[in-house]
Amino acid sequence: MTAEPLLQVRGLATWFETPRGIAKVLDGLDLDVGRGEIVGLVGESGSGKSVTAYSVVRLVRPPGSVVAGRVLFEGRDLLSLPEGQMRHVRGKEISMIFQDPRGYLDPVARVGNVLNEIYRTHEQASRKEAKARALELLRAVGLPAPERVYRAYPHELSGGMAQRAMIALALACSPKLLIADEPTTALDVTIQIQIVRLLAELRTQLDLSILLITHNLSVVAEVCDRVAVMYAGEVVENGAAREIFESPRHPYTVGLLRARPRIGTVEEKLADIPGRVPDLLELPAGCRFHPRCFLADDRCRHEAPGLRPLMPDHVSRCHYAERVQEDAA
Amino acid sequence: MLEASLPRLRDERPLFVGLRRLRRNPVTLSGLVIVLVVALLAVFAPLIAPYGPQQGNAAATLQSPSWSHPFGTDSIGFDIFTRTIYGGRLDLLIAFGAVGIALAVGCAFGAIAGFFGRVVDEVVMRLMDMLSAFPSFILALGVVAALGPSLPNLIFAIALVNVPVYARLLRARVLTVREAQYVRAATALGLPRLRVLLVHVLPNSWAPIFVQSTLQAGYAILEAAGLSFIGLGIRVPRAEWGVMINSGLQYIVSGQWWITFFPGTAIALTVMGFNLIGDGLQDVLDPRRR
Repeated sequence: MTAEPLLQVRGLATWFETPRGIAKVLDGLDLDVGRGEIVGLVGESGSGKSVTAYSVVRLVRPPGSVVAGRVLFEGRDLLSLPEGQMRHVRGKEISMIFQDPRGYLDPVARVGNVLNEIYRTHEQASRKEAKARALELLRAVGLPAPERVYRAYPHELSGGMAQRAMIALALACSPKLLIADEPTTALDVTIQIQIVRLLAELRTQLDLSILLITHNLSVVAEVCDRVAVMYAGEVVENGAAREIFESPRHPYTVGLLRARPRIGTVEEKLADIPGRVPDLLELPAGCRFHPRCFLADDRCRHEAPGLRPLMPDHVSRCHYAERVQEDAA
Repeated sequence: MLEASLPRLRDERPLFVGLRRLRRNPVTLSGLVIVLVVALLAVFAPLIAPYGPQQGNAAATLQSPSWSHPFGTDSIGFDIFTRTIYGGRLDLLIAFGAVGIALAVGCAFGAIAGFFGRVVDEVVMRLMDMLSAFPSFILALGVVAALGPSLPNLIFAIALVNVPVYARLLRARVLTVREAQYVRAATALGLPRLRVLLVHVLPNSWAPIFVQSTLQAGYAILEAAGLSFIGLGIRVPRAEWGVMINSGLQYIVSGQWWITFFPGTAIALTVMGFNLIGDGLQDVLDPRRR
């Protein structure tokens, strides 16, 4: 069909050892990010979104570890790369930005120094070149006074400015893939939109692919080409963003979309999904979502559904994917 | 689109914030003044002292304080005032030397243990446990006794007993800081582990080390004077506070109190000065007390 995706995650399993047993936080996750695509990874807290991000760059910390699967980046399996080479992937090929930008910037280091440090880690550059590059980046992420931000400490920046600085850091060495872990969650609503639009602009300018982890569907609607919906460590639905929003094929996605406030509609109260994310140590038998599902029947309680293609680029992990919409009404 | 421009112009680095707060902290300030005065007297001793530190005067032994000998003289006719000032040279040298060495070595051990963890951590920290299992004065005494009493050996011994203090402290701090989000971010952007340690972890770990160093400098003086007092450090006739107290010991009963009183006061004042700095510094460097 088209060219091979930039990132292909296959059967990724990341488990955490807990005193009560093994928590299978990721259990056979499949995910693709194509070149130049922005893929939204959505789901409730605890569904394994961030662990997915850390698993891809191999920074899951004990007691967690990646126990199975492949993470193919441009055809190379990152999980079998020696740590020394993996370090050159981080920052140079795959970068990350995080939820709380001020917490993720060193409080006693000037923004410019950190930028130089990262740049010179991956590129042969003199101090002068690094500084020029740093200023260029700070300008590219839309910071009003690059020279001043260059000399600033993180606490002198507002949340939005800090997130822009963090983005500059992540993009310092022109990575191909940016993993954005809840990049807007800690920001004001007005700033959220700015940051999201900035990411979309940078995508086209820099030929970047982005894996955007969020639980904010408005953010997804704004910029994502494709969406993967996660539930309890699995992808339950994956498809083009427009498709997912217009005709969701998994009851969980339907629930998420309903729980989203809409401007222009007067509703008594927002719909919510009954129940909560299951305990990963005591996963329900059959479909993991069945205790909370409006479609669940005996089959769902006993037989775990696989990811089924419904259309060329739309898969759902539901026995009754075809019926979801009629029954939801 | 543009967000508010940068608000503050004051330098908000911890060090500068600390210095500003220092001005409002009389405890630390007084400690600082005491230590500075002692240090200045020691440095400029040849200009201030009326006599030489080992210039005896057989005609003026055991004299009580007077205008010509403000702190009196001892049994050899040494001027106590002169020797008290000169004594600061040796005692401060030992204190700073020992603390400096202990700081460098201890922090290196602590940083390595804390950052690399696992086996490295176990090996280093058990080594430190062995050192701190001895009462510090006894250990220093043993080391000097084994190596022979000399200035370098004395500094080495006192440094040695102080190493585990720094190693523990920095290890604990590094264990906390290495879990910080910004350390994670630096790792996620491909910074090598050693660079992460040097560039991000250590600069965020210094504050308690500063505090501890001032306290340790005080203890180091006590240990140096203590060892010299029992004859295992600086030896007579060199001017050192512990030595001076020792040489005046037998005259206390016969009423010549000044031989021991003035060097004793010098020790007490200097140690107190360091402790006052340490107490206040804790407040000054704690960012939550802004």
